[in-house]
Amino acid sequence: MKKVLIANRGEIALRVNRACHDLGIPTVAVFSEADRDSLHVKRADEAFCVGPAPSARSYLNIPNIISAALISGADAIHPGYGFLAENARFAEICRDHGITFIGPSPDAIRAMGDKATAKRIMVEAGVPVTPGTDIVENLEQARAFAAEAGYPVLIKATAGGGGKGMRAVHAPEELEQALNSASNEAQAAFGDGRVYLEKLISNPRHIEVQVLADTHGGILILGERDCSIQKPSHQKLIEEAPGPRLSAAFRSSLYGVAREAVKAVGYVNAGTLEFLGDGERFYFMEMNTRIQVEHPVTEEIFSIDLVTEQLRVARGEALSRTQDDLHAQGHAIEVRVNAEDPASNFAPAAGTLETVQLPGGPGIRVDTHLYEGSVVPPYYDSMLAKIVAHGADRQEAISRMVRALRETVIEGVRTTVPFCIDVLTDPEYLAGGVDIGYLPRFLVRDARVEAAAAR
Amino acid sequence: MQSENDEIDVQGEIERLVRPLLQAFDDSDLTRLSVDEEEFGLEFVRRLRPSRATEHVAAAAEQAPALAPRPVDVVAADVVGVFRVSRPQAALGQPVAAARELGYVEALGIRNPVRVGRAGTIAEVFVGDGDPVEYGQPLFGIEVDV
Repeated sequence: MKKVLIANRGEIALRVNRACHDLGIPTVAVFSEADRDSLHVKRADEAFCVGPAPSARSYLNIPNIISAALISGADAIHPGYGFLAENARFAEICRDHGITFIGPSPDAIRAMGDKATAKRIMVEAGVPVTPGTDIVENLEQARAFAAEAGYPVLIKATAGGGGKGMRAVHAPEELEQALNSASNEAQAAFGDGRVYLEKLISNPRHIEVQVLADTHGGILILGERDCSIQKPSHQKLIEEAPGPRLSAAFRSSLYGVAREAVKAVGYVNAGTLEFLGDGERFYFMEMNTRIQVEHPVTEEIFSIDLVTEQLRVARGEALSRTQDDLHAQGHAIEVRVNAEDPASNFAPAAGTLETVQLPGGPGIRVDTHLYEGSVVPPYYDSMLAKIVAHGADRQEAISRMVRALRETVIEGVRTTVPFCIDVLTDPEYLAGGVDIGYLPRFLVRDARVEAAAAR
Repeated sequence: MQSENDEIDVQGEIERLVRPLLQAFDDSDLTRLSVDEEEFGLEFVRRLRPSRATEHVAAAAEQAPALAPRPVDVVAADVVGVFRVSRPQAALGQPVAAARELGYVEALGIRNPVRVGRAGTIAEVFVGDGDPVEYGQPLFGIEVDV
């Protein structure tokens, strides 16, 4: 691996750039016309503009990105997360041009990207999945399943993601219309209108397992992350590792299942298995075949660099550690600092940052592309920074995070910082182990308190 | 500091005043600069070469002072790749018709033609044969026919 092209922007482009430089590998950045002055462009050894601001014409422009790799002599591409990270066709195109795609095989991406296929593979591997159907061909099949499993049920698109083509159905008379609208939405969004049904687990926890595998049969199960603090749109806001209030039996079963899943998929590189946690039970939800936003909490407790491990695996080397070398230390929390207004349903904001004062001190890590005067363009996701706190235990991690958020000053756009302080000092959060319904409930409670204060 | 009785070194003084002016003129897009002071006057006139768009524009203005400078269209790369000159090569100062192919950007084995938009004269060449180019990179400046 002589040179790595980083097909992404923002903090993750910088994160990958750092990992490459730590291993002495030169980097090539790509950028859109809106990101000409971005930090990821300045920090890379070379940079190519690959298109105008809209990501469909720049960060998703496969011909221009591959061409930039070829003319700069980059022999590997790291896709980061989002954009082309889980595009099996892109991984194939890289391979066809003699470029190493830093991630799993196109086949693994494709299998896990199709939810129905992923579920079938997991069932065969003995991984628990939520009770559900194959692709439903007609209304009668859907009715039969819902009657047997009991309402509520969830309609999901097999090509789905980001909540598109997904409908919760609470009563038999809602089923037909929900089925049609979910299928139409999936057809419009993914060009594939096929849907299936699942039993809806009410207010589960979001528990995910980080895995790493190399081409020599080495597999690392790097514990779990609890990502139950989600906005009403199901986007994660606060994540932590390890998951609070989980029994030893739950963990041991979860890790065993994760290992079997990795083997069944023949998975190589970094990935995440997402589960719904329901008391002592858990059900496979999906596998993300990329590095994730919240990977730093795992890095902090295991003192491991997941991105350099990705690079090593892609070079055909063995992982730097064995499972026996890994021992989780303490507790880590990540807060996503987004340019969003929690009071307006997390509406994203864009603008120029007049003041940027980032936190530091013991136990604090900040992954960000911000600098004073930097511009937050309206074209991309609204994440500005990830603040990660590590402590000897959960209480210390939370205290450090609250201190860090209070030190943080970002002027020019509204951010999620004040809101996250409120969450992190809320008794229900402090008690630990909340479900994904917690944050929507908190928002309602918060609105009531404010309304009462205003009277 | 010089005393009042010192004889003024005229040659040296002209040198001191003129050099920076000449430099400033040379760095500018001006074609003519005249100074008319009590003690002395001078005038710089740039000999026009057709190779620079700015001079061309200035020359046009010189001949017909009422007209606005001719617009220069920038022909930019719309794909990432390696630029290649098309033959016969269009030279600086040469008139080119609309849609004339000046070269192409080779990307993933595909030739993406680089064409003149509005007809005019090649006033700027920013790229050489074999240069890697990025999206939006200026390749040529075309001084548009009025």
